[in-house]
Amino acid sequence: MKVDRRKFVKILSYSAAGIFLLGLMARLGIKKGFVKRELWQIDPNKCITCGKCETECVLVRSAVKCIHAYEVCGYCDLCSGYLKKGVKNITTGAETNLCPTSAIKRTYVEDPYYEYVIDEELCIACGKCVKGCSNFGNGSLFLQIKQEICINCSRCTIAEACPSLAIKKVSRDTPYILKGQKN
Amino acid sequence: MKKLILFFIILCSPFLIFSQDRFPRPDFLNGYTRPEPFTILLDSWFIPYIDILVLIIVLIVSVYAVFRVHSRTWIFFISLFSLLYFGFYRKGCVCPIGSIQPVSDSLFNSGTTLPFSTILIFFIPIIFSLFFGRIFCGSACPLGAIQDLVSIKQLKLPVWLETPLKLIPPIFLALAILAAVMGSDYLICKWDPFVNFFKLTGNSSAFIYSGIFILLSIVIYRPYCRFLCPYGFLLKITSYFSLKHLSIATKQCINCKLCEGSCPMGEIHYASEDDSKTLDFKGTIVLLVFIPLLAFGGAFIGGRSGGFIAKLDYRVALANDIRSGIPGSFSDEITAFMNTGVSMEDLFLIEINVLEGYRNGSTIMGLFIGLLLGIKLLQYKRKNYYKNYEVDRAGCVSCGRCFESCPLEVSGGSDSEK
Repeated sequence: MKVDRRKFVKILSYSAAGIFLLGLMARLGIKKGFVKRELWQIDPNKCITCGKCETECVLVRSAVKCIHAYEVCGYCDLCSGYLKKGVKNITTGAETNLCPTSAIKRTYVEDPYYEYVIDEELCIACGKCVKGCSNFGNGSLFLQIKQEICINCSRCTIAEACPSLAIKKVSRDTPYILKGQKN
Repeated sequence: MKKLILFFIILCSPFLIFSQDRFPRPDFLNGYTRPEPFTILLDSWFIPYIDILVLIIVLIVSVYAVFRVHSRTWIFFISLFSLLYFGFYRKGCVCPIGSIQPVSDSLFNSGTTLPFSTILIFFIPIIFSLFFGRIFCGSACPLGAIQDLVSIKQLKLPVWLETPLKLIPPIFLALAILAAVMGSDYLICKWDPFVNFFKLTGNSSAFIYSGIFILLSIVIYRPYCRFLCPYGFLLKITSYFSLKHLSIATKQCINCKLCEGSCPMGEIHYASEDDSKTLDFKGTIVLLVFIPLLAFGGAFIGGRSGGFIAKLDYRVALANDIRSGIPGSFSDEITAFMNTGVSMEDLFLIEINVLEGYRNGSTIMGLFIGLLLGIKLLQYKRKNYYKNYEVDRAGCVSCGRCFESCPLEVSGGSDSEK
């Protein structure tokens, strides 16, 4: 490849510019600490169970699911997150359930305690159980973004729609904000 | 490890502070143990870096395709791969176009985190553009690829329409940076017409918006790239000064005119015998005075429109809602705000800060647009005349559609240096 002096200087100066840009990248990386990409999480204490988690996610079935903090649960027979208000006969039938998809399974443990487990495959993140539980119960049910479903958009549409601005970015090292922990 | 954490949580449960505890937590007698809420599953942290590696490889191969092989077919298949990988597989996020937002946000606000992979994805196409022109646009960008793929007819737009449309990208860039720096929203992501396609999901308004752009792309070549893409504006600047750039002819151009009309965007400069300048010295001076005038005018208009643009911000919108709302009827947002414990006075103080930030930002934006208008005017008046057929260094996206029309191509080999 024949290269005359002018071309050589040109290539040299462009290489210098390229190295300068690379140096800028490195400096910016050092200054910002070479962090990993962050993840989205709901702050359960700010959530007002508005129901937008179900509808605003870009995914057809929302990445948000209801999670049960068992250590906070009262294991009550008359569970305000499971049963509709004013239910007379406590059964596991769909007509008494708050959950529109019957995602909460109730099983007897010992008198007078019942265990409530959420089937995540059925949960649509409508927040009805969360509302009931926080209003009349211990607040052990809460909505949270499941990282294995979430595709981690740069701009979370649920975060934009959330009226209480409860959704924020968290570091990969602490991928979950759970109820029943000191934050 | 997770079981250990759970055990520790149960141990600490008497000291938990963030739960309502209307009912006491049971102590089970029959040996029942509480189940684990769920297993934490995370994909590997280095996946973004795999994507960056793929991006670099794609860019290197496209350099080879544009400059050595000089083949449109190569470029087509590379862009198809980019569409499938960066578009449908990686769902079009994080992309270099969107990376403008976190980069400018964290440059301005020192507290904001910026992942290193985002820095890389922002700079790498720019560095390649400095050396080789806008090969990112033609080969690696999934948005460009989808527009290229659906393009059947390429209507030529009239000058009076195309010129103002071409001014939108820098305005959008400035607006997007302003909104990102102020922490209001990610406008580029919000108004990305193709991301819904890649995520294969969205609500009805997203579907309509994307649909309109796809339909447009069928009859107009690359509408997003030419008239909206903010990153394209940045690449234009580096591409203008690039070391090497796509050229239609592989050897010395012979002015055979066969490439006329071969560019679907009209970015080819035709050779002309006329070498007179349209603007004389006096005219140039007048224009040079005009430029600062335009800049100051733009800054003034920008500053005045700051309050209006600030409506993009959710805090400003909330404050407006509260001021103009019907007393007694509260939206979800207002209810949620009242639950946060922040007082009305504090909100209005925040609003004043945000408004001031937007006014300052809009002034700078206006200055920038005014300057740009002035430079465009100067460029228009002092037309350059070309001895041979060349692509416009800023506007050409290196798609290679002009290659097929050059007869020199057929003879093969790119053995000359221009």
